[in-house]
Parts: sequence; structure tokens; C-alpha cells
Amino acid sequence: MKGIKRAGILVLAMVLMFAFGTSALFAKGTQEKQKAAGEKGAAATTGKVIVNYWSRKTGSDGNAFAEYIKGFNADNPGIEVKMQVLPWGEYYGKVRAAILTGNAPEVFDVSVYSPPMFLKYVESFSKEDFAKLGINMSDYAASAWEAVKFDGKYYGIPDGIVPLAFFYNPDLYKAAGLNPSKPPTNLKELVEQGKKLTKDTNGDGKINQWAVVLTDNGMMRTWFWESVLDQNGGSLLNADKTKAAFNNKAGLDAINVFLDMSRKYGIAPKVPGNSGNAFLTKMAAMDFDGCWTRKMFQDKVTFATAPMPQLGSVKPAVWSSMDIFLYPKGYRTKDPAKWKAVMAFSKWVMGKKFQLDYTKAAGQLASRLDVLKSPELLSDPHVSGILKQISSGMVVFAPALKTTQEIYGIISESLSAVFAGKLSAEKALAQSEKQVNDVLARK
Amino acid sequence: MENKYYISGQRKWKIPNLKRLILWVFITIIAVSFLVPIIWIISGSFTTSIDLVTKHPSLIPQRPTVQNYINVFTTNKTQTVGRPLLNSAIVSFSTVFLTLLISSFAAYPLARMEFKGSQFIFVLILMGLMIPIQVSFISLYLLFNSVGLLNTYAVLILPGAISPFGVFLLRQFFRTIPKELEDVAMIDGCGRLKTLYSIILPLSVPALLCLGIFTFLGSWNSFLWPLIVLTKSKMMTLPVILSYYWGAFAGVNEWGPLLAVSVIASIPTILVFLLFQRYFVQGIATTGIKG
Amino acid sequence: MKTNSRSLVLVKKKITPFLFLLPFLSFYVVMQLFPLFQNFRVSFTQWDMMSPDKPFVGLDNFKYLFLSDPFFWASIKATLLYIVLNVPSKIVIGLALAVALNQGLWGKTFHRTAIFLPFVINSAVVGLLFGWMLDPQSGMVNYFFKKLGLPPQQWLVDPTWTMEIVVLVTIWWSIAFNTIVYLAGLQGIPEELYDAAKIDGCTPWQSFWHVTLPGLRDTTMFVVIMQVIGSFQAFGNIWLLTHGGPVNATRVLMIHLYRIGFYFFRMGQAAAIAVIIFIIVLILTLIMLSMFRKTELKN
Repeated sequence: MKGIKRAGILVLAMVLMFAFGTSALFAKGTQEKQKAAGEKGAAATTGKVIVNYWSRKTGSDGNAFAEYIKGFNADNPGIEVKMQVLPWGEYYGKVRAAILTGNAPEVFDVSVYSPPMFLKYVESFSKEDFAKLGINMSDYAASAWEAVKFDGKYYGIPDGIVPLAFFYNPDLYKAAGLNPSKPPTNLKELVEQGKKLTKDTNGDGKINQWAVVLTDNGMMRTWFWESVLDQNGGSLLNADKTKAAFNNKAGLDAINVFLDMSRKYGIAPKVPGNSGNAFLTKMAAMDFDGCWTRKMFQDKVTFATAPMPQLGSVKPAVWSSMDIFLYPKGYRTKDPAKWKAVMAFSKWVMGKKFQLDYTKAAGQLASRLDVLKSPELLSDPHVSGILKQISSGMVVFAPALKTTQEIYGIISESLSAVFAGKLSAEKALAQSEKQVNDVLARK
Repeated sequence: MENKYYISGQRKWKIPNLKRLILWVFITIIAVSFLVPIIWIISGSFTTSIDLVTKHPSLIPQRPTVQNYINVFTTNKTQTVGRPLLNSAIVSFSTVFLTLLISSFAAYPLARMEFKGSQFIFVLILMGLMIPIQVSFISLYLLFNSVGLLNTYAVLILPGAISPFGVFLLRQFFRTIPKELEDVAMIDGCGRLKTLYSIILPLSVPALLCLGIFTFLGSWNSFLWPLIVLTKSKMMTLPVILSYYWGAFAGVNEWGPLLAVSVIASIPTILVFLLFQRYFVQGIATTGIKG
Repeated sequence: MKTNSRSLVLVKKKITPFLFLLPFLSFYVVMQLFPLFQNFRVSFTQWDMMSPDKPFVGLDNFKYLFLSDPFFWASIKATLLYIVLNVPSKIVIGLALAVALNQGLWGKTFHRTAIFLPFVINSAVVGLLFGWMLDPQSGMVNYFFKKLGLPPQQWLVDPTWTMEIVVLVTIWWSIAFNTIVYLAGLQGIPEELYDAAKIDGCTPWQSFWHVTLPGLRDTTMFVVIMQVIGSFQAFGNIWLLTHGGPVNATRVLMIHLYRIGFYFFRMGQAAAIAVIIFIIVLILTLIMLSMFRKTELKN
């Protein structure tokens, strides 16, 4: 009896779940299809052209961008831009799979070193194309255009510049008797100021405020190392990007300058950590970080920005990435109406209003010169120091190669070993040089 | 009869009293320390992001707030968690149902019928345990693309519903059911199908529950596959959203909403576990996992 | 007529098992065996996951992994280290917890719930939680270290102990599985054996050695095989804690595969790693099975 009752309940449960399961499986599938059909139908009746835009802006930058797109869609009744934010870890894999299977979006954004892997699959432009579109190339930083130029053609448009940045805390400067409008410009000043900023503020005999906490983020560490390498007159790769060029004094000094902050000058704790966190909690008075970090500091801590101090011996320099729009092949020739909409969207992204608004609202910077020099931004201490890096021409873009990410991965691992005290700086450079050369020699 | 399998029911060899006390202290310390990280997530989710970074860590929130939860359900920051919660529920329940259905159908003949090739098929299925799922991602992606099912529930449900472990578990269990019961049903004129659902399945509730719980946990927590295949916000499941929040907030120290999503993502699995935990052991015990 | 229906019954009898197996087998072949086969094919080609053609390169991918890949052997080493640390400790601790939980101590429901609870937590949550707790500058663990007057540690930043920390977190997270299986195994040992041991004057410790352990032989075989297979395929727990770093200390084979395949898009080489993992696991499983069978015969 009990068995039968149980069987009954079980069968009932199964039937319910089956109904649920199958309806979920198939109904949703058809719903998708209907929706897709609906989209087309709507496009036919209302004349709206859909532009899919994939982005890896997962933070507040993506939110801001999405808000502005709402404005664009309202101003352009014939076009609907749909922004899809995807997590950056798996982003490039998704884009590749989408291109392979013909599901690519009309436009997607990438970082400065990613265009080479997509060259075969995305549209290229000539200067005339941009002129026809009404994009005046001289309105933008020349280096930005160089970064998307391969074999004499322009692949995509550079809509933003994303450099590293130097942050400092004016309140802590004042408390240490320093002038908050005089941030360090070179190593000597950094050390002098740093020694005054490194102190025990609660009287327990232990230092609890440092000048700086070195980052434990391998990539960030690598990029700052590359910045100082450039400042020392060196460079990551040789001129034709076929060999590593960092295993020399310039590269070695660039490691030592950061190691020295702890072991020689005593202005940084021995253990690296979350540097932004340390800055936020006033455990550190300065922070070497990405320019996008300013959004995290906003409203939480008093801060100002300055151009990256010259820690090297030859010239100022700072590493930078970019935000670039790429356009998968296919739509330009097959669907002129769509292509027109895509270009209208792109022109709007490159326009002054958007570039200014977006620079204010998000972490990255505009590529437009008039925005980079806008008095409004230059008077804002939260961003002025970062902007000056671009107008002074000290920005060095990461090399664009199919293997750039892998090369950074190799150097990052070696540098991590150095900063954990497991490897000498010399050995780390020699080891990285060999591995990077192997990667570059691979077909 | 069922009580036989309850963990609490049995005390096989007793340790003398002083030793029992030491053992008690020892295991209590372990149990408490196992709980600390979980308590900490929960308490952190009721603390503002800025407090989490600037104040000393504490197991009890000093200034409790539910703002994080309000944020993840309402603000337009990246994603809200309402839809992903629904998606996760649909995907998990459908996966559990399909797994139980398909696995019991497959396990039945392997346990109870003699036919040519049964050994071969069983070994073939066990081989499935050795396939690292990550290697299938690209082929599966292309497969689902070719039938136009990317960004549907099917792509999230079907790969998880094929469980070699489930077939193995149920086969072992079905073999422990006395054959006479089945024979009686067959003499009464029951077909194989009817025997399966009127005799075998009702007697297998512990094993089915056990497999169901494992499948639910696996499906609810499934992370990498949805992360790789999904390109539409409205199809995303909770773990995927969690990775968004991680990418968006961990770098900028917005730990509050991140922890709130973590708690929301964990509540259903914890509930399922608390409700059914005795079947965990019971289900496995009765299958007598033996080669 | 009669013979006809009998042969019909025979045919029916013959195809019935396959009808039952059909749903599982068809999905299984399409979604697991076919991708496995595809993976074998890709391992002999060069493919960037974007181009429609995959040129055949013979054994080049394997040659590259064995001879020129700077991280392949490091990842083999990391995988072996992970297994050596992970498998025995999880078996011993799982058994110990199961025996302790089986004592019927006061508050056993609390003990069991607390120890099983981490098992249901999402691996992404686990990674996030420990990344946060173990941050060298602002993490909770170092905060309490300082409070107790201990020197703060670098945790996941320093490659020396990273693998040990990863294994500790993995134990916290997944020891429940082994404990559950052992608890189940303990239910299967007949009470009479313990009574007999008592009559023979065995101490509890002796009866553990002579009754409990032999009684758990099959369970242990199951646990060992599952653990070894699982350890070779370990990915989520390590990836979300360390991404394979620092200094490649935790770059196990699966992480190497994922990096090469989904970050650098050399799918041929990634597929070759998958083939290597599959073959190693297959061989190990066969060896373990035959070893257990031998001990079975001896008994």
C-alpha cells in the first residue's frame, strides 16, 4: 500500500517536472525564435536597424556606456544599438567562436594588443573612408591611429586611451608637512617625500602608513616595469618586434627601482599586496595603478593624480592600452542599411560630446585632442594628471602582436618570482628573454 | 527498515569516555572552523563595501545594512540577479529531472537484463567518467550552434543531464533490489516499463534522491560551460553573473554586492542540503559502491 | 501464427534493453564520445578557433609540448604535487571524520552539518571568499595573525606554499564527499564482526585495524579512483584561487590546457594536452583496478 502511494507521488512529481522541463526546453527555444522573428518584423515595420555591440567593459564604465547608448537610441529613431557586456576572461574566446560560426556582432571592442589576431576577420579602412564618414583624423591623438594601423590600413577606430596612472593623497601630504600640489616628478623626489609619508601614526611602534604598497597583481607589476624600462631608454621588444630587448641594464634597473622602495629606501612594506586597497584605507599615501582605478577612489578617499614620476634615467614614459572598436567582415557589403547604422554609431562614439561625457563618467580617457585639452577636465585633480601624460607624449602603447598577452604572461610570472624572493632579477630577465624569444620564433 | 541506514542509528565501536570527550572537543573545533568562512560571507554581505575595506574584519557586522541586497536586485549596475535566479532554477530543476529519467532508464537494463554487449556498454559508460568536460567545450559549442540552440535553455541543460556517474550509481542500487519482487510483477503481466516505474523506482527513492541532490548541486553551481557559451544577458545563470560581479567589483573593492550575490547563489543549495542531507549518506550506503 | 508471435517476443526481448538505453546512449555518444573523438582529431591539427580550416600537422603539437613548451613539464610537476598532497590527505581526513561522526557523539547533527556545508558552495564563491580572506595586506587571516602576534604571511602571493594552501581550501570545500562515502561504507559493516572482535579482547584501536579498515576495502577503492580521476581534472578550485600562479606554482595540466586553449587560442596544443590527460587517467584507472582485484584474490 505504502509502495503504491509512494509510486503515485513519484509519478506525479515526475510528470510535473517533465512538463516543467520540456516546456522550459522547447518553449524557450521557440520563444527565442519568435523573438528573433519579431525583431525582424519590427525592423520591417518600424524601420529600426539593430546594431549589436559586444563589450568587455564589465565595470562602471560599461554602465555609463549603456546609459549613453540609451541617449543615442533616442536621438536616432531608426537605429537600436544593443550593448552586450561579457566577462573579459572568456571574452576573446566568445568573439572567436562567434566569428567562426557566423554569429559575430556588428561591432566589438578590444584592447590595444588584440587587433593582430583579428586582422583577417575584420573590416579595414583607408583615410578616405574616414573622411567620407566625417571623422577628421587630425582631431585625435596621432599615436592612437598608429596603434590601429597595420600594413598601411586602419583596422577599426581608437575610441579611448587607457594608460597607467599615479595617484596620491593630498590629505596625507598635508599631515606630513608636504606641499600637496607638488607630487614627485622623479625618483629622488619620490623617495624624499616617501620617507616623510612613511610613519607610525598610532604610536604602537610599528609603521602603519607607507608611501606606497607594491601591487601583487602580476600584470600591473609588469606594465609598470615596462614603463620604467622605457624611461631607462629601453624597450620591451626590438624595433621589428622579433626579439626580446629587455634583458639589459635598462630592464634590470626597472626591477630594482621597485625592489629598492622596500629594501633600500624603506618606503614600501616588504610584502606586496592590493595596492588600491592600501591607498583606499590610507595605509599608503601613493598608488601606482591603472587609470580606471580613479572611479573606485571617487567619493571614498581624497586623491589627486600626477603624471607617472620618472623613476628611470632617460625620459618620462608610461605604459598604456587603448579601447578599440573592430567590425567583423560581412555587414559592410551585404547589408548597407546596417552598415550605415554601425557607422552612425561609431561616429557618435568618436564625437566630442560622447568623448567628454564618457571621460568624465568612466575610467578611460578620450582619444579626441580637444577633450584631452578641455579646461574642465584639466582643472579636475582626479583626472588632470592622467590627461597630462597623453598631451606630453610620454605614453607608450603596448606592442600589438598575436602573442602579446602570452609575452606579458611569461614576464609576469618571472617578476612574481623575483618579488616573492624566489629568483634573482638577473635570472628572471634571462629566463623571460629566452621564453619570449621562443614564443616570437614560433610560426 | 529505512532507519537502518540513518547515520545516527549506529554506533559500531565505542571509544571509552575520556577519549570520547577529547574526540568531541576535537570534532567540535573542526566543525566550528568549517563554519567560520561561511558565517563571514553572510556577515560581510550585510556590511557596506566601504566598511569592508576600511574597518577591522569582524564576524558580526558592526553597522548592519541590507543595502547590498537591494542593490543587486534593483540598480541598473551591470546586472540584477532576478532573472539569473529564475534561469538557474529552471536549468537546475530540468537537469535533475532529465538526469533521473535518462539515468534510471539506462541503469535498469544494465542491472536487470541479460543481453549481448551489456558489459561493453557498461564499460563504455564508465569511460565517460574519465573525460575531462573542458575538452568537449568547443565541439559542444559547434554542435549546439549547428542546431541553432545557442543561448537557449537546452544548451545549459542537456550536457549536464548526461551522467555516467548517475547510471553507475543507479545500476548498483537496482541490483540490490530482490529479484523476486520483479518476478511477481512480471507474472502479474507487467511489462518491463511498468515494472520499472511501479516496482523498481518506488523502492529506489533514497538512491534517486541522492543522485538528484548531487545533480542539483552540480547544475546549480555549473560555471565554466555557461560562461563560455552564453552571449545574451537574459539567459545568464547565477554563477555567470557572479563572475560579472567579480570582474566588475573585486578590482574596485566593491565587496558588498559581490558577497550579497554569493549568499543568494548559495541559499538554494544550502536549503536543499539541509532538507535532504540524511539521504546523502543513505543513498550511497544502500548502493553499496562495490566494483 | 504461434511461432510468429514467439519470434516476435524474442525480438522484443532482444531489443527491449536497447530501447531503455537509447535516450542515454544517443545523448552520450553525441555529447561526450563525439566531442572526445573530435578532440583527438584537433590534437593533430593547428587551429586558432576562428579559421574555418584546420591544417593537419601530425604529431607536432605533442612534440611541441614535450620538447619546447616552457610550462608543460612544470604543469606535469604541479599536477603530480597536487595529487600527492590532495589524494592521501583527503582519504585519511575523510575516513577520520567519518569514523568520528559515526560515534554518536552529543551534537552530531551540528558536526555533520557544519562539515558537509562547504560542499554545496559554488566554486566561484569559494575562490572569491579565500582570495579575499587571504589578501596579504587587507585580508582577515593576516589581521588575526597580527592580533595574535604572529608574522603576517604572503599566502597566495608566495609560490612556496601556494599548492598546500590550495589543497587546504580544497579539503575544506570538498572533504564532505569522501566523508559521506566512508560514512556509507561504515553502515555496511555488520555489527556482529565488532561483537566478535570484542569477545576476542580487541581494543577499539585493534578492531578499527582488523574490522573497520578491511570492511572499507571496496569503499576505499571507489574513493581512490574517484580522487585520482578528479585530481587530474581539477580546474575550478585552482583557477578561481590562483589562475595557475604565482610563478606557475599551481599551473596543473587542466589550467595549462585552459590557458593555451582559451587565452592563447592554440587549440591543437590544448587538445593534445587533453589527449594526454585522458590517456594517463585511463592507464592509472586500469592499474588501480587490477591492483585492487589482486588484493581481492589474496583475501
